[in-house]
Amino acid sequence: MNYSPDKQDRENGQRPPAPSPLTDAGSSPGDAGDTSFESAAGTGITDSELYYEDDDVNVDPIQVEEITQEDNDNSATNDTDVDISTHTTILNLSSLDVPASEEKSDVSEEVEEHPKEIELEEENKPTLPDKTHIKRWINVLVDGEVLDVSLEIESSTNQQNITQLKFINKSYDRSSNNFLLQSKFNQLRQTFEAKDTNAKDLIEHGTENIKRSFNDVKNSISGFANGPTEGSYTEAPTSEIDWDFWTRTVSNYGLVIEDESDELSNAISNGIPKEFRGIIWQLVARSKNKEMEDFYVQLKKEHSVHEKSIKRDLARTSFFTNIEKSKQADELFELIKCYSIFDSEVGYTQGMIFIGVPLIMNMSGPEAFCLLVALMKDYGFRELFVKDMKGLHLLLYEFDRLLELYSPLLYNHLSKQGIKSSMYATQWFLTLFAYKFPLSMVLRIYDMVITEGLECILKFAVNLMIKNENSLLRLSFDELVDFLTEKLFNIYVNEEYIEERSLEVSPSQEGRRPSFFGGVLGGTNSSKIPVRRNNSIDSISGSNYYNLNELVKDSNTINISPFELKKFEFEFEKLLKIEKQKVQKINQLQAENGQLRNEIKELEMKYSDITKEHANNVQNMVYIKVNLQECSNDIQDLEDAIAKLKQNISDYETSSTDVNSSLPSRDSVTDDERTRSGSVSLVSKNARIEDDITDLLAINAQEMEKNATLEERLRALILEEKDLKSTLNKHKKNTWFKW
Amino acid sequence: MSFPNPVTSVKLVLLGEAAVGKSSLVLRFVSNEFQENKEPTIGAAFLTQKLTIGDRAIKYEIWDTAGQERFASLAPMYYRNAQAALVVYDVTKPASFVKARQWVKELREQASKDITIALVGNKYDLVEDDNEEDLVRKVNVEEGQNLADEEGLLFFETSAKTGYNVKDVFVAIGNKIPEATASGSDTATNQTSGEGRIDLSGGGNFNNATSGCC
Repeated sequence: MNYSPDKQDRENGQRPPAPSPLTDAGSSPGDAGDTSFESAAGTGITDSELYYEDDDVNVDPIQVEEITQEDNDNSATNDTDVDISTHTTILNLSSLDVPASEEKSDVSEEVEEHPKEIELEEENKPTLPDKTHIKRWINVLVDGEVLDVSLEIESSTNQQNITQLKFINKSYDRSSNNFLLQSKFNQLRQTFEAKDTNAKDLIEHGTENIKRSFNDVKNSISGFANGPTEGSYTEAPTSEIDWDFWTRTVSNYGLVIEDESDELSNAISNGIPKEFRGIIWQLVARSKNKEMEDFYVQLKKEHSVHEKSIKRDLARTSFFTNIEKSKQADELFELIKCYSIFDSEVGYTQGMIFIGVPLIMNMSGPEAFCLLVALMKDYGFRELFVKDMKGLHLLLYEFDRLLELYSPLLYNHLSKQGIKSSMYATQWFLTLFAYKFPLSMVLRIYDMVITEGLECILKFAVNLMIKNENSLLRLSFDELVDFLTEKLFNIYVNEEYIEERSLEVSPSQEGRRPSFFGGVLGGTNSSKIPVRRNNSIDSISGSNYYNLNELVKDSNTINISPFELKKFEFEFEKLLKIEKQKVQKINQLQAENGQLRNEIKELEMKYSDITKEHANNVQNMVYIKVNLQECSNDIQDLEDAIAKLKQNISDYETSSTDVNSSLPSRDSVTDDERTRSGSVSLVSKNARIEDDITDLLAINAQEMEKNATLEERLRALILEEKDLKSTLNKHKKNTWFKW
Repeated sequence: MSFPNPVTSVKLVLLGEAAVGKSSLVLRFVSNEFQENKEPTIGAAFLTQKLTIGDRAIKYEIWDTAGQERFASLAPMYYRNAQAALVVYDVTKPASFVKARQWVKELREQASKDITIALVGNKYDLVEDDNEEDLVRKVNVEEGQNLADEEGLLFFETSAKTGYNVKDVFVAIGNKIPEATASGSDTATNQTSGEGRIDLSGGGNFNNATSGCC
C-alpha cells in the first residue's frame, strides 16, 4: 500500500491528514510503479534487444545476457526478452563462483550447455563470447520448444520480476558512467507518476517551494560572493560554486540527468555545496509535501512508546552529541519520535538516529521528516529497519556478490577466515557509515545515496574493500574483524595526519597498527576506540582529515549496474524462499517427530497394558486348571458315592424281596405287622435314599455343567492366549524401535 | 607475547537487552576502561583479550552483540559456535531480567549443547548503597541465583563502572572451559558453510528434540 495522505485528506475533511504508514513489506525501489509501467509497456514505448557489452568487463563482468533498449517501435517481444534475463539469473548463480577473469567465457559456456540445438549457427561472429546464443535461445523459448521446469514453476513470480527487470533495464543509459544516478531518477519519477493527482500536486507545490528557497539562497550568497565559508563541514568553498550548473539542476533535474549526467555525477561526487545541500536532497527525492509537514507538526504533540529508548540512545550517540546544538538535538528527537509513531511497524530501531542527523543538519524539522519518510519508503531504507531487516540482508547479499566479482581473492580469503559480511558491514549499511566515520564523510555519502539510491552504498563498501585488499589479504580472523570495523578508512586519511605513512601500506604487524591513529586520536589503543568517537576531528580539522574527494571518486569508479542488482535481489529472494522453506520443513519435521514420539508413547502404554492382561490371563488359566482337577476329583468322588448308594439300594431291594417272600411262610400278624412296619420304614428309607439320589444327581448335573462351562472357558482362554500371542508378535514386528 | 602453555581459545558471546551494559562489560574486561555513555552497538563488535589463569593462557574471542530486539535475528550467527555466553541483565530493570531468561532459553535450545553460560546482573554500583525504603535494585540476588541454579549457570553480579566482579566472570568461564577444547584460533572451522547463504534463521523455534525412547 502506498502511503497516501491525499486519500485520508478527503475522508478527514479539514484536519491535517494522517498518512498511513508504509506497509508494503516487500517494497523495493520501483515497485510502486509496476502497474503504471505495465501500461507504459503496453503502449509500446520501448523494445528490448539483446546485446553484449564487450568493453565493459571490469564494470560488469557477467552482463552476457544484458538487455538494452534499442528502438521504440515494437513491443511484441518485450516479455520474452526479459524472460531470458531472469532465466539467466539462475545460470549466473553458478557462474558466480568463477574468478572474474574467467567470467566471460564461463558464462557463455553455461549458456551453451543448455540449449544445444542453438549452437549450430554461431560461427560467423568474431567477438567472443557471442550474444547470439542467448538471442537464439530467446526465440526457442518463445516457440515453446525449450521449457525449463524451474521457469515454469516460478512463472507467476517471474512475471512480476520480469516487469521490474524490464523497467530497471530501461532506467539507465549503458553508455554513461553512472548507472545508478539515472536509474534512481527514473525510478523516483516512476514512483511519482504512480501517485494520484492530489499527491502529485502537493509534491509539485513542495518542489516549487524548494526551488524558491534555492533562489533565495543563491541571491543571498551572491551578495556575499567570494566571502569565506563558515561551518566545519563544507567541502566546496562558496567561491567555487558553479551557480549556473546548479541553477540548471534545480530548475530541471531531469533534463540535467539526461543531457549532462556525467557533469552532474561529477558535481555530486565533489560534494553538493552545503549552502543548498538540503535543497538538492529534497528536490531529488521529491520529498517536500505540505500535508506531510503539517502532519509532522501534529505528530510532535503525540507520545511515542519508543521515547525512552530514543532519548537513551540520543544521549549516548556521539555522532549526534557532537553536533552540540541543543535545538537541533530536540528536533532530531522529534524527528525520530514522530517517525516511530508514523510507522509503528518500524517504530524505533537503533541506527535511525544516524540516518536522521544529516537530515536535521540541512533542513527544517518538517522538511527532514518528509525526506525521512521518502527515504524510508522510496529509497527502501525502511527495509533496513523493519522486523527481520530484510533490506539489510539483501544489501549484505549484494555486497557479497559484488565483492566476489570485483575481488574473488579477497572474497575467498574472508570466507576461509570465517568472516561474514554481516560482521562488519551491518553497521555500514544501517547507518550509512555514520557509525564509525565523521559527519563530513557521511554527508558526502548522503549526497550520493540520495541521488543514486541506497544501493550506491555498495559502491563505497566495495571500493573500500578493494582499496584495502592487499592489507586484508594478509590478516587472519581477529585482525580482520578489527581492521574491517576500524581501519578501512585509514587509507583515505590525508597524509599530513599520518605520522608513518608506510604503516598504512603494510599494516600487518598487530603491534604497530594502533600507533597509526595514536597520534591523532590521543594515544589510545585504536582497536578499542572507535575512530569517530573523536568526532572532534570534524570540528577541529573539518573535512581535511579524510581525503573525501578521493574517496567519493574512487567509489564512483565502481559503476554498479542496477540491472545486476535487481537480479541479485531476485536471487536473494529465491534463496530466502528456500531458506524459509527449509525452516518450515524443519518445523514440520519436528512436529511430525513429536507426533511420532507421542504415538510411540501410546503404543508403549498399550503394550504394557497388554502384557499385564496377558500375565493375568495366564494366572487365571493356571488357577482354572487347578480348579478343574479338583472338580473332576469331586466328580469322581460323587460318582463313587452314587455307585455305592446304588449298590445300597439294590441291596435293600433284594433284602426286602427276601423279607416279602419269607412273610407268607411265617403266618402271624405280628410278623405281618412287623413286616408292615419294617416295610414302612424301608419305604421311607427308600424314599430318603431316592431323595438323596436325586439330590446327588442334581449336584452331579450341576458339577457336570460347571465342568462344561469351565472347559469352555478354558478353551476360550486358550484361544485368547493364542490371539494375544499373535498380537504380541505382531507388535514386536511392527515396532521399529528396539525394546 | 608468549605464553608458556598453548593458548586456549574461548569463543564467547554477550547477549542481553539493550543498554544493560554488555559493551561496557567487555570494555572493562578488555581495556579496563569505562565510558559513561557507551554508544549503542549496531550489528556486533568483536574484541579479544588474553588472560592467564594459573598456568593456563586463555584467549577470549568476544562477540558483543546489539541488544535491541530488532537485531535478534543476527544473534544466532554469533552464538551458534560459541563455547561460552554471558547473558547480561540490569539489576535495576526487571524487564531486562525477563529478557535474560529468554536468552537462556534460546541458548539452551539452539546453541551448542555444552555451552557455558554465565548469568550476569550488571550495574551493581547503582544498588550498592540501597537502603531499605528506597530500593533502586529491582532484581534480587536470589532471583538471579535461582535462575542460575535452575539452569545450571554461573552467576555474578557485576559493575562495569567500578570493575566489581567483571574479571571474575571471565575467569570463572575460563575455568569451566576444559583445556581439551584448546581449539587454537582456528576460526575457520566454524566456516565453510557461508557460501552465499543468508542468515535469517533467527528465532526459528527448534525445540530440543532429543528422540528419547526406552
